[in-house]
Amino acid sequence: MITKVKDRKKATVTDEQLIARFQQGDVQAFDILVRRYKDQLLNFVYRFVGNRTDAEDIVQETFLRVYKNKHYYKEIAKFSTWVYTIAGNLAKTELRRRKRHKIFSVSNFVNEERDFDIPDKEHGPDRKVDSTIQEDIIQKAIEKLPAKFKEVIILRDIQGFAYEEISQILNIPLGTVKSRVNRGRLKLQEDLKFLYENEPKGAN
Amino acid sequence: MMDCDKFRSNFSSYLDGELSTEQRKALDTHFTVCPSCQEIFRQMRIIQQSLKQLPQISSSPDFEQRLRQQIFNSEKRAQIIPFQFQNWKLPAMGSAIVLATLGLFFVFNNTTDTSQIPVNSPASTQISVGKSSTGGGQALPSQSGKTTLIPDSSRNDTSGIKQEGFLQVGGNQ
Repeated sequence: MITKVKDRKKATVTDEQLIARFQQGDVQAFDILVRRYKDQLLNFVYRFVGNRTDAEDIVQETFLRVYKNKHYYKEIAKFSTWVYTIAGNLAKTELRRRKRHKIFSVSNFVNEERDFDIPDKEHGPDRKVDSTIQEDIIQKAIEKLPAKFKEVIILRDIQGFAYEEISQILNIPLGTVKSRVNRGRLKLQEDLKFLYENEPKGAN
Repeated sequence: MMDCDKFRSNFSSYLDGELSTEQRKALDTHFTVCPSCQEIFRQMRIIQQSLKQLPQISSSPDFEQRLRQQIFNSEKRAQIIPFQFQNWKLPAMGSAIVLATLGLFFVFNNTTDTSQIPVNSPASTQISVGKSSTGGGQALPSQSGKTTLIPDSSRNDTSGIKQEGFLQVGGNQ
């Protein structure tokens, strides 16, 4: 009974309480934050950079920075906003690094197709091949988007953040978020025609 | 068409429930008269649904262990070099300054024609001085504008001159 109450109490501890505890030296609080955020951050970064290994490295680096810079966090912002800002900035840095590398790399002169990621096995071996191909095409279309549209689309449509939260994470005005989400979706529509061409009309 | 552009800029907000009741009603009315906008809105909704349904990936089983290792390594490093000095930019800038100073030193040193100066002679020490009134060397302006002391072979006391003597007269240009 006591354990149950304790568990319930644990579950209601907010991120902000945890980071405050961590700032006072409670490393266990940091571990809980890592467990809470590692997968959602991984999905955010993975959709951004399109490579699982790089995404994991970036999320590791994100937590390392949280650990080292814990005292820079101020309670005026939500912890989620702070940690997503760090991860987003690292992901953008990675994309810039790749772009630079691509300019000087020999592969630039060779007609080389981007390698495919291994499909996620956790969703069962019996998954339809069609759906894997579809995912891959969607992922490529996301990657093709300019970074400013990509980040809002991932945060809104894949991660489910509210416009207001996206505005805080990216430090841009709310109106800019709205217009970027709209333009990002319209851009995706051009590349993902196959998704709606087979759908019966009047389905909205 | 102008109207269509205005309505289309609100499609996302409509999908996300961010429009006011009036704006929503205005769009609904527009859809009844504009099949083109209705179609684009239908497409956007499908795209949005497809993005929502993308499968989630999970972190690798050793994620936390690797993170702990990274933290441990960085703390170990911090014991040797404090965090604020771990930034590569600072040591890089320091090294650049040291290299630039050394480079300048060698460049200016090489402007003197060392062939005139006998090796192992105590008077071969080159000192940038404005004027030398004493000592066995002549103060001659070099090409770079610096004054270089060279030994005066006509005098016999050349070998007796000490570096300290030159240093005393230096700096009075």
